[in-house]
Amino acid sequence: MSMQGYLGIPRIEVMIPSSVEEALNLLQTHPDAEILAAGTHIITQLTLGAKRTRKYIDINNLHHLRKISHHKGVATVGSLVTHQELASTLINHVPAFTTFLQKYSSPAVANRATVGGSIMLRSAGEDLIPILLTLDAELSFATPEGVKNVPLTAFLAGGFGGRGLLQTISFKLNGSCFFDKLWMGVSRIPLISVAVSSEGDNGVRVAVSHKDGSTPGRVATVEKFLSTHVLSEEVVEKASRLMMDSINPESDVLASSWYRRRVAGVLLKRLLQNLRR
Amino acid sequence: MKAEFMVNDVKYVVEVEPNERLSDVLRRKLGFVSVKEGCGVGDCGLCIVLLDGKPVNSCLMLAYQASGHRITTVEGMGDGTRLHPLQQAFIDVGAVQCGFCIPAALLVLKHLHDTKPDADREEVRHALRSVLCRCGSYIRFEEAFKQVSRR
Amino acid sequence: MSEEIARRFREILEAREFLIVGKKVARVDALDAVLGKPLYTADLVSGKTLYVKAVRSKIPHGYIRKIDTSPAASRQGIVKVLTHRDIPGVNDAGSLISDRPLLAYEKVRHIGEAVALVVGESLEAAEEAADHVEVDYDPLPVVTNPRDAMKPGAPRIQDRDNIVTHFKIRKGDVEKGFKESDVVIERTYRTQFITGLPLETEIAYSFLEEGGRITCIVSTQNLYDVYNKVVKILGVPGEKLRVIQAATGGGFGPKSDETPIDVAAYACLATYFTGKPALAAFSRSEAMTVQCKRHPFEITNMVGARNDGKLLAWRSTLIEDTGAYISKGHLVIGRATFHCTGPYEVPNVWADGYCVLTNNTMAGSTRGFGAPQAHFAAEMVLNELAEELGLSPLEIREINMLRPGSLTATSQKIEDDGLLKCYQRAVEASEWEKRVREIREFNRANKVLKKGIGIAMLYHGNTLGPEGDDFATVITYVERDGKVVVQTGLTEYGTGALTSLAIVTAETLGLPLSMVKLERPDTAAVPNAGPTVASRTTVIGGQAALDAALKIRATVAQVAAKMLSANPADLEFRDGLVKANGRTVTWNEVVNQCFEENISLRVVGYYIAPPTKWDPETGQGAPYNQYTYGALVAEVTVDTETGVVKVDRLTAAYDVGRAINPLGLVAVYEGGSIMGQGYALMEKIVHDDGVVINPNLHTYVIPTASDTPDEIRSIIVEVKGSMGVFGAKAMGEIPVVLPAASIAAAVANATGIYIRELPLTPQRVLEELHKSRQ
Ligand SMILES: Cc1cc2nc3c(=O)[nH]c(=O)nc-3n(C[C@H](O)[C@H](O)[C@H](O)COP(=O)(O)OP(=O)(O)OC[C@H]3O[C@@H](n4cnc5c(N)ncnc54)[C@H](O)[C@@H]3O)c2cc1C
Ligand code: FES
Ligand code: FES
Repeated sequence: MSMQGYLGIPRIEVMIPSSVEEALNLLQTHPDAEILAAGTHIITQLTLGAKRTRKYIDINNLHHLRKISHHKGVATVGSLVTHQELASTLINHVPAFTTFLQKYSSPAVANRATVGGSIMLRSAGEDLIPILLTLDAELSFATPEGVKNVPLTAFLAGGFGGRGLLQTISFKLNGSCFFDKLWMGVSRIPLISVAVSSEGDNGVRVAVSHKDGSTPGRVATVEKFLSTHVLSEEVVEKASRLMMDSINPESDVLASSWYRRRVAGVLLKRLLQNLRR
Repeated sequence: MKAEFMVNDVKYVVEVEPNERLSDVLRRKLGFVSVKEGCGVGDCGLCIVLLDGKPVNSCLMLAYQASGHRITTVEGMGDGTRLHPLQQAFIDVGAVQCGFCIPAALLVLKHLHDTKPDADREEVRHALRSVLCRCGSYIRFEEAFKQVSRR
Repeated sequence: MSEEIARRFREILEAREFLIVGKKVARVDALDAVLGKPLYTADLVSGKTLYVKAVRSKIPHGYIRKIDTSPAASRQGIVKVLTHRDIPGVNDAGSLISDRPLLAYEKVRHIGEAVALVVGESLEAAEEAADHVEVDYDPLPVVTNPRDAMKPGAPRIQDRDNIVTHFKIRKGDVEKGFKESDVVIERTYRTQFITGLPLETEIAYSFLEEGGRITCIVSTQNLYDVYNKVVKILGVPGEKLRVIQAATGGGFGPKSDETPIDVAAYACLATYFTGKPALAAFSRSEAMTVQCKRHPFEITNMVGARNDGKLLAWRSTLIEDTGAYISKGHLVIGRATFHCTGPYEVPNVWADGYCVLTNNTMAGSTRGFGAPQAHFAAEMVLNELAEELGLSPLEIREINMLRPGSLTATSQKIEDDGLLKCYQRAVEASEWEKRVREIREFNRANKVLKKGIGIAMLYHGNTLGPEGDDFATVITYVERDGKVVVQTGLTEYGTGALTSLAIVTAETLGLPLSMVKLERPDTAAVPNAGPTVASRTTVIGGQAALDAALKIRATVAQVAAKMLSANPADLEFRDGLVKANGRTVTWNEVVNQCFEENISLRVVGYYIAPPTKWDPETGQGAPYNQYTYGALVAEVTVDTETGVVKVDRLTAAYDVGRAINPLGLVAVYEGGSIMGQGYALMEKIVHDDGVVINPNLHTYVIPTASDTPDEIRSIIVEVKGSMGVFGAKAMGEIPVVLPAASIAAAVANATGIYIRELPLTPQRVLEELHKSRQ
């Protein structure tokens, strides 16, 4: 018996290293190859005919990348940890992860999608990025030149240009880190998402899915304003308006820049009100 | 490449190409045609199977990556002679319209039933969000889940 | 003799209480479905097959200067590349109007139009080669707004005027009506392109049988439409083609339209030229680009009423964008225009409906067929008028709704009170007055969230009416084991309608439903049964099934009568038994006896609806034999800071005439409501200068389980119709018609703003709120 589907992906070549060294070697000897984690993004792009890469380095045999640990308020998460595992393991430490799962567009995907894949995609559709930004996440890459640690903020700003294997992500566990998102249907691109986390006297970290265009980022002006003000009703309102003026989101077929700006302010207001309670 | 995995408690060793997705192999090579395809890019969820008990989109996974794992399709839901209670409930509440999404909807609810039999409405809907049903049977699915969890 | 008995049996059936009709029974195909067993087209492909991929135009409008297939044809794994020149028969894939070539020649008129076909040994080879067919175009100006297309001197899409139809209704004297009115308002409403989006995309698989006949397995609503067209495209005699409908993963109109013809022709052409099996299927983005869509409308309604709320005059101008090809656009505009006043009595009506060609992708049959658009505009303007008059939405409806004796916009006399019953039941079940009070309180206490309630009503001309020959055929035969097989060219694609035919058959023969089997529609076995559209299957197909079952019953009765020494007309058929005078034989015994005596138990059932009459100059007459009615109450919560509309509850009352299969109806009510909610709140295919920019499910969003209302109350009203089987009225399409109108009404109630353009996306709602605050 042979049954047919009617979609498919083009022929590809896959290499499956069993150590980090081997992976790095392959990265060097195959400049045209790309790292493959769960593949939820890569396979999608191949199916849509939007990807030219035909060589992949599948890192799924690097089992140590599936570990998740926390110590003294800092979590260290392997890049192959899935969204579901990450959030359900740390849900009691970081309330944002509850909302992250609740508002996952297509929850089955969270059983496969990896944290490392999310980070490397650097896009507004990766809900973890705003959350991790407010938790001062740091990335640890294995590169042919040795281990490189890069703050997530710097990474998003283009701070790490080289080829490397993202191994772990470490971030602070913060019980007052919250997340909210507006999205439609199963769209993986949100209308907007916002994360905040309170640093006590040191103010509040604020990050948004669409800081510039479709790149997530922290919102410095809002953070600065909040660092010098006590969270009163009025300050929340002001921060909300400041948020609208401080980001420059793109317009796409789902929402205009105007809309995104406004609801970013609204979600921030609601999250800050949450913090006040 | 060789892929070696269990489907519905039966072990399969299959020769696969690197670009064959799990959905391709389940459908074409192994004949599990209950696994449907509606988009190929993770949106519709019709290709969902359970991987070690958890729903995953089989169109977003390469077949060889399933090696060493346990796969469940709707063909493996009953116990061979009797229907799974959810299957019976789907019939009883009139959940079937065109039928195209039914296998996937059953599987995500089976996972929920296995892990959280008393899930509330929001949780049921959250789980079902992975599967699009254009015929709009969502409330029927919910009804079916309720009926089974009441027992 | 036996005809007389059949007539007598029909009387008996209708006089006694039903045994199965109206009872909660599972669909005949439900068990297979939960086992994952139904075989859809892709599941039936076995062995090696060729793959056919279309080369599609990358511009919306232009002359084709040159098509060079050689770079593609010479690639490895490519068996054949076809252009319009290679079509052996007629290059025509238009289903009713022959305006659309299967493969474009001279000109392309919309984005994604097929220009060539590539046949490859693998999907990958075919897809890659498709990129290597070189087509040179001379681009032409692109017209995407029907208002522009209507202007004199606008670039022509086809070799004809861009205005395809001008459909008219002229009733009474509108000028006089407006003059006599105390209040007159005029408003313009706009609706969007959406796609029906059956989750199984278009697909066909063909192969050559011994003897040279091509068999084509296809996902379709219209078996014979595909057959008739493909025979002509191949240029072969009828007996050289056989079309079978596989299990079909959703229809919603598009599968009755032209794209199933396309894929069937693609596959069959490949088989025709190579003698080998071939598969042609749309990817999701292909389907979302070229599958026929719901027509966008711009509707301007000017309405006038007396101070007491009585409507006196109504003028509608409806502009329908049918895209680059007509498909069913000329009929959709008819249905929309017939229904332009909604289910209200207006003494003076003037309506002009225009079906217009543009360079957008083709619109065609989509569940509701013009009714959702017309009702959105009618219900909205009525609400806006009520507000001007200081009347509540209920008052204005009570004053004007169609009741027995009312005359519709076409001056057809309404005979029954189905609408009133639906209205009363919906208002009552939604606890309207109580909800209005609760909402007032809620809104006083909440600044950001605002709740609202809205009602909309419909009438829906049943089945084809002016849209075609309203007939159906059913073949019914009894097998030796007593099982009754029902086979028809009408198709099952999700509505459960064929279960209704099985129920009618079982009811008539006094058999349990499990004794009735349905066979796959197959042109080699059944005659044309007309299209499976317009919610016809239960109503019209049910009559044909009844006709067939009565004929079987009459034949069986004659044999049983001998066995029981009774009069055939006095026999009772029940529980698999045939009884008379206290004596009994089993169904199987009689069937056996028939086989012994060589009495044929194979019949053809037939039904044709009475012809309908109306005057094309004035639209006056009786375009439909009967009407379905409905009322839908929507309750929503609007987040006024984000523009997100949540539907809390829908209360739906529809007059189905007779509920043949109530369990199936609930799924249809709920499913249609949810589909209608997608139309109301989120769905829109976006053409950017003719180019579809969101042909995927992550940027064209449809409702998920989480978008579903907290509750949908489904109320079945039964006011027997004059045409359908046992009084049934058309239902399949109905529940998608009202959600947009009632949800928009509820949003207006919550916010005070009438949003006159669909869909009410968060962004649109927020923009409107923003505008009103300034
Ligand atoms: C239907 C659907 C819905 C979704 N919904 C959501 C949602 O609601 N919320 C959300 O946050 N996300 C969502 N996503 C996005 C999802 O988060 C990403 O697709 C996923 O995280 C990517 O992980 P992956 O392992 O599959 O990456 P892959 O596809 O394997 O890789 C993605 C990219 O990352 C690179 N890469 C991966 N791992 C490494 C590594 N360790 N080192 C270096 N480079 C690496 C790859 O080379 C590639 O470029 C959705 C996706 C889909 C398909
Ligand atoms: S086929 Fe649509 S999610 Fe896999
Ligand atoms: S039953 Fe048709 S898509 Fe769900």
